[in-house]
Amino acid sequence: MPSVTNWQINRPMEYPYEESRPKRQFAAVFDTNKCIACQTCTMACKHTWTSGRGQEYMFWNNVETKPYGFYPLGWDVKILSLLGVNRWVGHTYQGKTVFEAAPPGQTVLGYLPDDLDWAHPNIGEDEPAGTVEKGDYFSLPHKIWCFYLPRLCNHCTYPACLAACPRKAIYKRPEDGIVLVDQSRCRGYRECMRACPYKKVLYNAVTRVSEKCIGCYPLVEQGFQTQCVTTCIGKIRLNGWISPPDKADPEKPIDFLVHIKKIALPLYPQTGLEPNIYYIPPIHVPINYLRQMFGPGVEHAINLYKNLKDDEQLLGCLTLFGATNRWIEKFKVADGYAFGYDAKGAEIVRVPLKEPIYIRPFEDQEHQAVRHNTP
Amino acid sequence: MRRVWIILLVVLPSLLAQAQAAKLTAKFTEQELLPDPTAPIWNQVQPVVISLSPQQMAKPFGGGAIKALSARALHNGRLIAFLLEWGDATKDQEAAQTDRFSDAVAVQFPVDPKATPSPFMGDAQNAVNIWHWQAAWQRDIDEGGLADVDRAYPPYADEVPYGIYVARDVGNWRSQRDHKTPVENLIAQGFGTLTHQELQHVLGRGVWEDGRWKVVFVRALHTGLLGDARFIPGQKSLINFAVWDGSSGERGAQKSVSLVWHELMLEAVPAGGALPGTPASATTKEVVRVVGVPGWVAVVLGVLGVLLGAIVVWLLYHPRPSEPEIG
Repeated sequence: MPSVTNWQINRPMEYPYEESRPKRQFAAVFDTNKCIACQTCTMACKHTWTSGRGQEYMFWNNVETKPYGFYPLGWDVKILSLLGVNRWVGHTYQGKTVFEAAPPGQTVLGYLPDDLDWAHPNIGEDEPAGTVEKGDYFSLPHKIWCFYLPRLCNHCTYPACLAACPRKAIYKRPEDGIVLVDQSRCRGYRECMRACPYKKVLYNAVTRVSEKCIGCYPLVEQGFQTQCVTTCIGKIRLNGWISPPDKADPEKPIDFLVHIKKIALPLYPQTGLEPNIYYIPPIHVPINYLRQMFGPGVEHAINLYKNLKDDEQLLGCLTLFGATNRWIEKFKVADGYAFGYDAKGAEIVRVPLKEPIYIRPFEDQEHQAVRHNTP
Repeated sequence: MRRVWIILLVVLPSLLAQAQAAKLTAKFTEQELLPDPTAPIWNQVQPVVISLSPQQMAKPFGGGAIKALSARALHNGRLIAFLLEWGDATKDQEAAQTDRFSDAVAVQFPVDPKATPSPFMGDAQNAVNIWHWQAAWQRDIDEGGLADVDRAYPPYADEVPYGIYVARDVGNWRSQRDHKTPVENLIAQGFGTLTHQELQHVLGRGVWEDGRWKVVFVRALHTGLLGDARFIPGQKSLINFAVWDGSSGERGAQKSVSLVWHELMLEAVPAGGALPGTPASATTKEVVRVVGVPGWVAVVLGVLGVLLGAIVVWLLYHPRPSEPEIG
């Protein structure tokens, strides 16, 4: 099996195909500290792409409450259990990826969820990790905690779905790295469903072939961010291109957050897929849980987030989240503003780092009115 | 290296075991051939038993639930029909649930009757024509329409008025609503290349009774469609088989296969024996070189096997340098 580089586990690894990175790689950063699990993203995606018969159970985007929410049931604890001990030394993963741990005769270590595993998309919602005892009080991390994990296809650099398909019916677009299931070639074998550790390929009972998140490519091709990103009312999401770490461009917002500042981390990097949706970890969750989920960079990311007010560049980049539906190619922070630019370098958005304060008198002479202090 | 070992230890012994390929004769009959597995005409034909092995060449490996099938063939100068039977305790016809798979069977023929493609779905130079019957499609036809969520999860609203069915819109045969036949007509040039044919004119029908599937395939001897196998009375051809057991999770590459081609001999049409208005072998001027699996191939394979067996023994007992750990 060819050896490829996976910067997220800081070592070469085995993959069935040679390394072939796309010209640009679709990516996003989600700030979990701001997610309230309102599911607006879920419904935006659902209404746009999966409203048909046979797609009833499909959520290409879902938000689950951790630690007890799963869609499908137990997906991540099952894959972690299959992988065995996930040991990191420094930033290097010592265990096996799903490709390296594949049983004989298989390409990927995985499992096919039971049909009923998909029947509880909101299981564990808002359930905390324990019960509140008398005398408990808040401290960081929280003793009793939960957090919301928004999920979609990671448009991985090394997709397990693509690796597992015996028909090569899954492909990664060279122009933007979006991973697609060819609807004319898929024969519904569900090897991809079995292989994807994130369980983000779904079988359509009516067309009898598998479907998955298409990265809203019709929008992306026209310079817009995806439905789940632009509809987020908490403004927790930002789309952008990610470069490999040696080509990181500090002017690209995703490169800046992931490679320069290292505040956003991949989800379960130990699977070896090099997933491209990155998460700013929640600051209130016990560190061991987060380390298992996002890898060894969580302490650094949390410390950085706690001191956001001291880092104008980082704060500026985060204010661009949810500020425009256009695809931000590059950004700049200057003079108290964060600026976003399109592919031609034209300004598409400008956000102040601090909203200006206006003090208005109680009696408005011009309009002959009085204003009450009602926020 | 691992692939070499698989070939040495798994494929070759199986090849040797099956080197004596079966001979299936399609007897001539003057009767009409219908897609009916229970037709009495089949009682006049002796079945040929084909042994099957798990597919272990292309990942994912799998299969093995069904160990053998029996095959019979008939032709009437115009149509050719095959009856395949195998034991399967579970009748798996559900295709609408994410974790369930359909029982299925497939037969395969060289597209070019003069060629001998790889018995494993053909090769880049030599295409094969595959007829694939699925129990789920049989159920769709038997129950008068596509069985989907309404039958998998009753009760269900009659129709969802919205939704896009991309696979159906782009012409994926699997996704079409009204299949006229439970058999998909396909062409392949090696693993992973299976593609549906432009015309779907292979008829068929399968019935499950007392733990046994009986599936019949019927097609014209000659269709004229590029990529369709051609059968010529009086001539030999090749045939191969694959079976899937849905409840064992078998689908796609995970199937039981026959590892060698088997000879398919079409009896010549007796003078004046063809049904009215049908082309008989007497009218076929084309001369086709006969390519079967003759006895000398088995002998050559046997000698090769002994030689390779000796290499395996030598490799097993010869000290090898340990492979470096992957860092």
